Amino acid sequence: MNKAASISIGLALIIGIGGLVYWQNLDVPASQNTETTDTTNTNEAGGNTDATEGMTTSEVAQHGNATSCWSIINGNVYDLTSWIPKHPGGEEAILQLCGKDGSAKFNGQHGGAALQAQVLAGFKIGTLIH
Amino acid sequence: MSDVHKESMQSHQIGILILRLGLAAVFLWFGFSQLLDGLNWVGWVPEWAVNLLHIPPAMIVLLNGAFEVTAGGLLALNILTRWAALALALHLVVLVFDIGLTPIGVRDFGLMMATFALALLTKGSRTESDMTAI
Repeated sequence: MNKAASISIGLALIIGIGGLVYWQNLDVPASQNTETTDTTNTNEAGGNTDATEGMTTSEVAQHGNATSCWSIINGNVYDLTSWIPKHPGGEEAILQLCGKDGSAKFNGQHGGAALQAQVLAGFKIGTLIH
Repeated sequence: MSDVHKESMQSHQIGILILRLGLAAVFLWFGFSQLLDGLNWVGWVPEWAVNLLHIPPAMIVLLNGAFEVTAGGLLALNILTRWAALALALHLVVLVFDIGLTPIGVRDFGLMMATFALALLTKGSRTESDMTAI
């Protein structure tokens, strides 16, 4: 392969990857807005206007898919929907926690890790009540 | 040069090309992600890095993103490939030690080894001018 072709391929790769990441980031705010609306509706339906109030396992179970993914981890409830496409370990690792108690899986994978705990804390929406 | 030897050299060159472009794509993707969506990466900045550099975590993410885009771009363009690969491999050594024995850490270990391999392969017995033809 000559030098010109090599540089052309390289430039195409740089522009292509940059464009792909840019396009992905354009897509995220729209889905995050939808999530916010959905969460508000759910809270209104349940008569609970404060998102940090206690939540039951059955409430969490209603958010068990990629479009609305809540999970219970160590007694707290987290909305992990926006984190699904961004999780460095892949989407499946988060999808398997949706609507369930993900404490065992989270602790098994990230137990004691300050960084992951810090990231997780950013998604907290409430605490579990029985 | 025999046909067998020529064929072997061609396979070797295609192998390096695939390795180089594949790794470039990975580093460019992560680099651009950090530049365009930095806030989502702030949580991954280790405390020791903040204490060492004395700059905000968001700035560390941007600098790291700029480094990965620059080095990944050099790999893509086949410019200073050996040094870019070496810098990225050393960068991954730090990440692997920081992340530890997790699936992400093991994945980064694989990337680190592949990047080291690229750095060594582009050195080889050939000159830099030969390598620009790959």
